Amino acid sequence: MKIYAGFLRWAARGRSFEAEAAKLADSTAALIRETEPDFLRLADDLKALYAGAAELGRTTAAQASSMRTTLGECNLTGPMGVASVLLDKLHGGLAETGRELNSLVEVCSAIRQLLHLGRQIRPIAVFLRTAGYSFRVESARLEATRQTFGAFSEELGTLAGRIGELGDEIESRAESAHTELAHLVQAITADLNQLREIAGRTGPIVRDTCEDTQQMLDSSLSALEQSEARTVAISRHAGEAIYHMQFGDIVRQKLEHIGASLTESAASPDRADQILAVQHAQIEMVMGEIRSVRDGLSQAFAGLKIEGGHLAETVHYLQSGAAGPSSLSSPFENLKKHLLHLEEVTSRGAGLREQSQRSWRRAMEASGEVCRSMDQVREINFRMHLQSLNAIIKTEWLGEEGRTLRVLSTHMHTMFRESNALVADTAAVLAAIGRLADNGISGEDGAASLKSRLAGDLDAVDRAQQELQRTIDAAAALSRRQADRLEQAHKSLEFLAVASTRLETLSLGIAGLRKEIFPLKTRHAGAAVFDSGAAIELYTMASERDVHHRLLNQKPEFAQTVPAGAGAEASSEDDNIEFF
Amino acid sequence: MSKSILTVDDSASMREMISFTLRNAGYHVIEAVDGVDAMAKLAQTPVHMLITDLNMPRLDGLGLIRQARALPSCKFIPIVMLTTESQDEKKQAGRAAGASGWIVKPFRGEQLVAVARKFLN
Repeated sequence: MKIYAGFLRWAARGRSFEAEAAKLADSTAALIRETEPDFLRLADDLKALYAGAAELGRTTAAQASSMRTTLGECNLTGPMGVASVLLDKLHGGLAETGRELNSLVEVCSAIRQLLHLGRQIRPIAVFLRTAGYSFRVESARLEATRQTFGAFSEELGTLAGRIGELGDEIESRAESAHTELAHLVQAITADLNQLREIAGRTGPIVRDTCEDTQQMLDSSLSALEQSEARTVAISRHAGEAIYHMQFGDIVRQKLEHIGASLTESAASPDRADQILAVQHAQIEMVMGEIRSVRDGLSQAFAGLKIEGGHLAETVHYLQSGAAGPSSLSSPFENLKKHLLHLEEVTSRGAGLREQSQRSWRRAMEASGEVCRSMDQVREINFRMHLQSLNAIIKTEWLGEEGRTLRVLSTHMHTMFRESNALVADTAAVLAAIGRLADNGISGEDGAASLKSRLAGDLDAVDRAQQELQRTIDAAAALSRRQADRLEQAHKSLEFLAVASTRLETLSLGIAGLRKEIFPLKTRHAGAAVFDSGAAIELYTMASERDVHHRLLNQKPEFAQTVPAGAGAEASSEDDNIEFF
Repeated sequence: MSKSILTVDDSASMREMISFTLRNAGYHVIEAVDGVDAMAKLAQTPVHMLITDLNMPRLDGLGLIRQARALPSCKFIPIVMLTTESQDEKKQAGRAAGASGWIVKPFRGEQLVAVARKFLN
């Protein structure tokens, strides 16, 4: 009766309840229609933000991992670092060449001995020639002597000539080899000293550059790892934003329901008060939810902005090469320049070693030639030995007549022993040269492996530089894109404020309508002043209040993994998941 | 080859969120706007999993589950309800219709992916 009276009072004022209710329903429909593109745009922005965060996370994690690997391969400092190994090997190679040089000096001295030994053969030849002459003179004086020593004196002359030639030959070859070797040794010594000086000078520079570069790489890696942590946080905030966006969709659905109910109320005046009360409470809930969505999204965006700002700082740090004294490429370029210089030194060291090997081969050739000459001297010696013994016996037969020749023959035998000793000395010198040369030629050539290690290290340094540059470029581009998207998404949140204001108007409209038509019911619902808490409690379902409560009061823990869900486990412990 | 999931929701933004989350996790996602559209898509392409909203125009989630379960290709696939409804009676109705699980909106991305993994891996 009272409701009917309310309608009558209202109608008397020339207003139609149906028209007012339909107007409210239209307003709700218009709000849904107008905010739909905004919701979709916001969803797109969030999707882009989340995708960007995931991509940023993946890229940064991959680059950090790749950088770690590269850094592992490109160990610049420490006992096994490029600087130490290269310099140790270089110094080792130079020391080895130095030892070979000392051996070559010893060989030079041995060859000089050969020269002296060759010269000592000359007196033997002179004696043999003199002895031959004496035998010929004696033979001319005595018939018996001529018969016995005629041929002998001729042979002595021949032997004297041959041994003299051999002595000259040995002397000449030894002298030529000695001169050549002495020059080589002198050249190698000069080069070696120069290389030692360069290595000594370059060493500390290379070590310092390696330290600088390693420090820069380490701090770049550390910055990358920080970025990795940032991207995880960014991903978490993006997940949070997407979560709140779902509430936006729930709100949209509720508005659809409110619109439909308001239309229904226009067609059912007898249930209108109840419907309006319920929708009024629903609108109050929705307004609270929109506020919460807006707050949640704003909070997520603020988090994204802070993390994005930190990330941009890190990228800027990497870009400006703050880890190094100058631009990013400088430490790498310096290192490469010094390593290449070191490679040149190494190549020159290898050249020295080749030169030294050639010297060894030359010494071997010279000693081989002397050896062959000495073999012939040995044969002549043997012949001298036989002839001197023969002469001693035959001069015995001549008695007093052969006394002079006997002295000569005995002296010739003594000469044989001296010559034999000379041959033995030469053989010993040649053997010593052979031993030294064997060691010199078979010595390990570290230059090739050193160059190969150097090439590998230069490649690793190149790769590290490229990796870092790629990471910086990718992170810079992504972080710029993310900042733009974030700004766009943040701006688009304004539509939620507009929606809130319009809902407030709608709420006031419903309240006014109810107050005018159903004053008693309104009082019953709460008070003269609308109490949203009481109305919500009275006119909404428990499940709706549950969603409302979750939205307003619960803040879930968001995954810190990229992409979302990796490694996560679904269980019935999640209060919003149930498995049948 | 990635497993395919049909996601059914009348809200375009919600469909986008679900598809985006599942695609990010490596699944092939097919979208349908309601139960009728979903049935048409199921007739064309068999899927490994179905995720559906409850309240939709033309054919709602429960009706969709009943009709889908009648198809031989969908008899044993996991079907998960993804809805704002959390009343026990609605859940029981879903269970009776043939749903394998129930997720109340809003969900966290990793929750949805974890549910998909639980059923598909």
